[in-house]
Amino acid sequence: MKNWDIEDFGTDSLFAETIKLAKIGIYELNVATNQIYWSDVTRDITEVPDDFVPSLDNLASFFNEGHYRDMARDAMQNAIAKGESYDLDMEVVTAKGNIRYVRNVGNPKMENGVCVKLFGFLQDITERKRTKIELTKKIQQLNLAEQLAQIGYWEWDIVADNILWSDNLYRIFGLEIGTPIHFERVIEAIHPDDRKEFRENAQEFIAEKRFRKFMHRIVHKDGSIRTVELIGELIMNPQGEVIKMIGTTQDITEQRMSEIKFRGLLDSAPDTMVIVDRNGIIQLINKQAEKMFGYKSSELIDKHVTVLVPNRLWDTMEYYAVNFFKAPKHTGLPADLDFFVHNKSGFQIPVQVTLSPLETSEGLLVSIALRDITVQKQAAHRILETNKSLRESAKRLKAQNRQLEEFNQITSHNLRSPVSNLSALLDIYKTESDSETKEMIIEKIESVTNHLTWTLDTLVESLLIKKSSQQALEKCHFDKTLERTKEMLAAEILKNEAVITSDFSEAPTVMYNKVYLESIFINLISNSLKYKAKDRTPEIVVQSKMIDGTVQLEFRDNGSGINLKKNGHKLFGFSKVFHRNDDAKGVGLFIIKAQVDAMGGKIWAKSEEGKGTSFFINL
Amino acid sequence: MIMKPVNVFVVDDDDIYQFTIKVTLRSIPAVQSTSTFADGAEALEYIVVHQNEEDKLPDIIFLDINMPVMDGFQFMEEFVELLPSLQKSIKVYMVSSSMDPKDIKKAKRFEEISDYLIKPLNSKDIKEIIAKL
Repeated sequence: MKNWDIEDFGTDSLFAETIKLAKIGIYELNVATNQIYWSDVTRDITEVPDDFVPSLDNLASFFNEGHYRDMARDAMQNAIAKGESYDLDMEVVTAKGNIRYVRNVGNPKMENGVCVKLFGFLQDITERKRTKIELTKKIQQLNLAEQLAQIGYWEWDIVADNILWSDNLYRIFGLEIGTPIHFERVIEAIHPDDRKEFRENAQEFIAEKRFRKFMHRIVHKDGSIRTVELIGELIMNPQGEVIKMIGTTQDITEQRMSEIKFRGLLDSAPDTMVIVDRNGIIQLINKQAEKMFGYKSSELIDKHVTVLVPNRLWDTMEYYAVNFFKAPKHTGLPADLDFFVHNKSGFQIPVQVTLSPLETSEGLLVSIALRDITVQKQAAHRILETNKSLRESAKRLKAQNRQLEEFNQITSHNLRSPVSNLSALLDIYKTESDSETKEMIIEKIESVTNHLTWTLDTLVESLLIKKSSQQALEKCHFDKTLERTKEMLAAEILKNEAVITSDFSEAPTVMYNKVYLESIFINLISNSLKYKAKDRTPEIVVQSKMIDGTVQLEFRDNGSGINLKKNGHKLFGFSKVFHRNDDAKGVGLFIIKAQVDAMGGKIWAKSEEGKGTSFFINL
Repeated sequence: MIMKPVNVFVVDDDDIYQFTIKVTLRSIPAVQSTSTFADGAEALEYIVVHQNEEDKLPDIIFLDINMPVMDGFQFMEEFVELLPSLQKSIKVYMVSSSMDPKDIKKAKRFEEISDYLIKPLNSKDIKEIIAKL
């Protein structure tokens, strides 16, 4: 079949090999005979059987009816009739019914203005076509993703100042897709207040060869303002010069708005709020926190929360943090925890702590609410203090009450009885006619008046003792005091042949009111002499001891003794006497009790009737 | 109105009071005799000794509270024990210058005490008491 021009290339030729490898199929139409030649590759592409003979009549079956069939027919007719070449990308249907994409190129061979032959070749481009479709799909998806995420992509050729934007970035900026973009055009779209920073950032990134995430606002034609965030990186040439900047711009207006809302909410909280992540790194603090801690927000963010807590409480804090993350829920730390934070100057503030979980896109955070409880603590402290002083007052009041009761007793008995006597005497005086009796009544009135005067004097004395409890203390030597007492009672001692011995070795001295101490000695020793046993000579022992840091005096006698069961309650009362004794005025013990009380001491007695009495005094 | 003659005991350590009450009692015809004791122990001793001699026991005792050795309340404790063995009904009046509510309350605890009287007693008060016998 030498009539096929194409066969002239020779089947063994380099060309034939090449076109075979490139999967290029050849065809030839002899216009005069209407005979068609298909090369092996053409037969492969069309998947025809070996015995298939292509002809003008069966060509149409390789094209789906419609667009591609018309396209193929028109191209052939034009080539034959007008000698026009063609180069088409088209779909073919193989003999086995598969769809393939081919590049179909045709060249008419003209002789004397008439087309005699049509040479053409087919290239199977199905793979390429598929890839392209795939790519288109991918780009569409990317576009969609960009739109959904409100992200746009940009590429800035710094040298040429040419900026490439993705479609969505145009949408974000509210500009028509395809508008040529350069640096100043971008600046124009930026909010006037943010332009300076944008320029400075761009310069800084280029100078430092490092991109830093930042935000700016843009103003749309309609005046609406959007906030965007930029992330990018720098591309350098082999010389290390920055030639390109690429990155994304995300519209974070909604995010920003909710962040602003959250911030507002946070700042309007009455408590100090510190938001930390699982590792204890501070993410966010509110205005109250700045106030409480004296740090700026920027000084605390990204720091560990321990900077706010005294070392001694770190373990406590860790314990509650671990528990919290085990089961994150709103947790109030115990009110009696005694937790403190310290501020920038190291001052410690007592706080009530509440932990709350905060779910965020960056993971679980813990929101720590702190309430300054200094005032409550102070109040509690004041209450404690007040309680203490109340207890002391109550104690003092009780003591005063006891004194008042004593006075009530005294006025009831010791003042009222002479007064009632006087009144009775005067009544009798009025009705009495006998002048001798009248004289006697006057004498009695005098006696009552004297008694009354004495009672009042004694009372005044005891009042003075109570009032002057802050008397100057002096160092008193017991042996000297006893010596003076003996001198003062010399006559009584001699008369009763009393034996007075003493032992002050354990505590020879005491810091005391000298007058009171002498009063104690005189009263107790003279009592012992007065109430001596009738059948034996008085023996009196005076002894000082040191008991638990307190000096104790004991006056022990072998006198008649007192029935303390019966009379103990009135032993130290005013004008209480327990003996039928002319000298008994019952005021000595009352006075020394007042003196011992005034000095903060204690006096008590032990006694056995018929054996003797011991008085003990804690000075 | 003819009154039964009455024996009165005054138990009080205050000699001025003893004097004035004796003068007052003397002016009352119904009072046959007045005995005075300086403290509860003396009075009790007398009653114990004479418990079977009705005419020596008192109809009325005016009892002071504050006395040495045995005061009015201590006297009452002993006297209450003694009372069932006595043939005579004896009225006890607590007589004190004390208006201390504690004393008054304490006196009320003894149902054998007929009343609590505040010193000084005048003849009118005493006559009323005798009239009630």
